[in-house]
Amino acid sequence: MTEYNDKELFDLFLNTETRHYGFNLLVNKYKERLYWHIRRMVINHDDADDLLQNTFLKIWQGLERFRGESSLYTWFYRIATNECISFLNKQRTRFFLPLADVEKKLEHSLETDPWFDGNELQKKLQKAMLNLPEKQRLVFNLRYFEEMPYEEMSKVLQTSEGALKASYHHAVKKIEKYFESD
Amino acid sequence: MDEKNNILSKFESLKKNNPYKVPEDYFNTLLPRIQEKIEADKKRTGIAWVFSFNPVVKLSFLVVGIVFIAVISFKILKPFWSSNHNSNSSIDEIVLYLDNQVYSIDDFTLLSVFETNKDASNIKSSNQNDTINYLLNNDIGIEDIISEL
Repeated sequence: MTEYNDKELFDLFLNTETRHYGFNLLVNKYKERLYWHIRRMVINHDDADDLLQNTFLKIWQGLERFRGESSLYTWFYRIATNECISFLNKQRTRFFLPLADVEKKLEHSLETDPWFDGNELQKKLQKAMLNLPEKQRLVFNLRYFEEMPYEEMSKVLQTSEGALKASYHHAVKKIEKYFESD
Repeated sequence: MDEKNNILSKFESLKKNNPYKVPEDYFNTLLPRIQEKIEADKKRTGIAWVFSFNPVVKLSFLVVGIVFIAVISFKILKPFWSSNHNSNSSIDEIVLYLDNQVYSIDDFTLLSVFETNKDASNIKSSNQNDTINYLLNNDIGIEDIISEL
């Protein structure tokens, strides 16, 4: 099977005759990376599945207008990230939950999720991360688990590299504190 | 901001072992479900597509819609209006016609054209004014007279 780069996939998409083919290749290329990014934020598999599908729907709707100011990969991540943030915000407003309680809800989801198969240490790390503010948790996920360079992260989150480095540093300190206090 | 000498360096193994799992075959069945969602969204777009526009665009659509309805209504109702507005001119036309075109036809002959109407027999010997009144009361115009003659 021919391997296409992002530019070629984008060109396939722009051509109406090969649009579906190009889009399908993009889905297959990025589905797992985007899924895990979303899943780490929302914890629950069913929620992550919904958000991932919504992400690809928005990609389908908006890709024609993509101006190439960032890489496709960065743009996809940005859409997925916005979907996660909107979802978490809706959880707050729908159930009138204060900030801390959404994270408690996610923690509970971690305990009861049949699709979480980690040991106690992994569970503890996930709970420590859930105690981070949302944006900090995002930065931590992207840096620690996905090893995303700060330059790229800056385009995804539209924040300066300096701010991201500081955010990651604070996230690590908080996780350390969580483990020391527990 | 040393990223190496911190608690996370102890958890390097955690990075390699993903604690989150997915249902069997999840990623293989994902693409068809995304395609279904896209198709469903295309069908749903329709009217919703209009309502997704900004308020100025929506207002423009509304104005165009109102103008369209007004034009259609005018075209449908115009014949009813014109028959009322033209009632005076139709009287003049009938009088003119009767005076100038049908002077050789007397009232009885004219009214016998409409012999099925019971009122016709009552005014067969009447004068021109009665004839005109009869024609107006029964909404009989020039075209009707000409077509019968």
